Amino acid sequence: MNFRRAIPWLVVAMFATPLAFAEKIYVFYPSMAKPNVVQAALQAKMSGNEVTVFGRLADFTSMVSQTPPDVILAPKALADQFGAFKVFLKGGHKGSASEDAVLISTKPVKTDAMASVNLGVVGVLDRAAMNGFVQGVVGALPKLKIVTKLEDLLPLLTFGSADAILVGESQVDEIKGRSQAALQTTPVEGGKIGLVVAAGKGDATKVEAALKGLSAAEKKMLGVDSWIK
Amino acid sequence: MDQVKRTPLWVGAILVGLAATSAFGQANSKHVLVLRPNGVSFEEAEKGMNETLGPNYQLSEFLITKETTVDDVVKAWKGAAPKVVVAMDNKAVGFFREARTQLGDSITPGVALMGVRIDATLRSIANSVGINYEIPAVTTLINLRSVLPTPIKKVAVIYRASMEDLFIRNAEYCKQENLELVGWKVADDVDPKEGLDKALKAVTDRSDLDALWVINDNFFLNAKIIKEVWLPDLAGWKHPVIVGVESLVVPKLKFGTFAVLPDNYALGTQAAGLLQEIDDAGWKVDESKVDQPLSVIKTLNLPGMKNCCGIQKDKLGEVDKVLE
Repeated sequence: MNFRRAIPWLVVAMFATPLAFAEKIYVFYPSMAKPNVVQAALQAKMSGNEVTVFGRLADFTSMVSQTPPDVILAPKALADQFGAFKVFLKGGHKGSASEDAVLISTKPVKTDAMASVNLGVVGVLDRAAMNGFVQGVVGALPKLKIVTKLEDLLPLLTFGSADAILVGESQVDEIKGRSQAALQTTPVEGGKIGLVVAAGKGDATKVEAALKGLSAAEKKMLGVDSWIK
Repeated sequence: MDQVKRTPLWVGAILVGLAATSAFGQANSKHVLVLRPNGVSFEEAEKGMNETLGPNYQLSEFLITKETTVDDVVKAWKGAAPKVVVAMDNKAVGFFREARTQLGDSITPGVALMGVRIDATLRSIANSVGINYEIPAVTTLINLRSVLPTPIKKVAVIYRASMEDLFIRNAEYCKQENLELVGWKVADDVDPKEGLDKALKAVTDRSDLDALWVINDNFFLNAKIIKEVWLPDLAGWKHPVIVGVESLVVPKLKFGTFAVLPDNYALGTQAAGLLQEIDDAGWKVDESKVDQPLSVIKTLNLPGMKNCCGIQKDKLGEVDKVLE
């Protein structure tokens, strides 16, 4: 092949290389920010990687199965369901990989009688698994009202569909900040909620470096303030 | 010879196993009959329901068309032998009621959604639950408040006398959030154009109102009335106008500044929650109720909002669609 003939192939190869080696990252983390906004923010800071942020749990789980990524970023409980992905980085909040579980309600909640409480929670697992997840956090199995978005928890209280909602400590201010109702917070004694983790199928050195390079604003979008190895 | 003898035993065992599995599957399958019209919104809701319910539930879909009769629905019902029926929109709810009467079946529970005033419709249908399609003012206003730089306290709403119950309920919800709905009631028997014009002039004359919530009501919302009343009366009114239809928030129309619509996929997941509650209760409705929709899609007319009221730029990421 002479040089002239090779040029188009070299050009194709030059442009194709970054894509071919781009790490595919799937993200699922329900927050107040819209998925497209989170995706744009993460993608801008993680160039060379292909970031897709999902707003729906079902879309995330089906895509992980159908078109597996190299790395997933998801709440620990969800990431643990994908055995092929090994956690290489844990999101941290105040130095811990989990945060205190908090109940928000309009009336006092009897934490010793959680089984009789209608409890609102954002679905990060399927319903059956959510029962186990919540039971692990609050120590009882309340009647769950599962919503798809963080912002949908507040209406559960407004319309009396739930007695309380369950969130992580880092989400309390955001939810209370949207409301002018007299909301009460009750810590769940001993209740912890695992934060976002990064899990990969292979060598995730590049993604790990990129995640560590995220600013406070982008980390906040993932509900963390640091990374823990 | 031994091999020949053994083979039928293996085959027999497999067949028995398959039959047992199949019978077990039949006995444990949870059939849900979905009566719905064709359309993307309904497909989205069904998708949300299906994905939330998972493989333990089997959804049978029956599409309602102009030609559908109650006999068709009865036939589909008999064929599906559902544990529960989901009816999407008022026509489907009507068919559900009629088919149940025709079948003499008051036991199979129903879940109604995506219709006009589902709360009023279900009053006459026993053993049923539903989700309203109208987004409550409090949901809309909390979302608006979170993107505005100035507080919202008093919000105007113009409504027909026959919708007073809707106004009262919404006003109650709003109180929890320190929001006051200020209503202008228009009699049902007056000319809508004149009634609306009079009410709108009263709204715009007041200086203590922070926003206007426009109810989705065809009585007041058609192309002629929008052009001849809404647009001229609201020209120069420097407060947010909240609408419930995306076409009314497009910037070039210069009408709505903020729109809040139902999230149909999430509505399906909410309906799935009701279905699971019915399942948990042994396929019966423990308590007839109509829930409010929880999830919404927010659309912002950015130029319109900037022009009238300003915006918190850092909150734009919470809005689903920003129109420029």
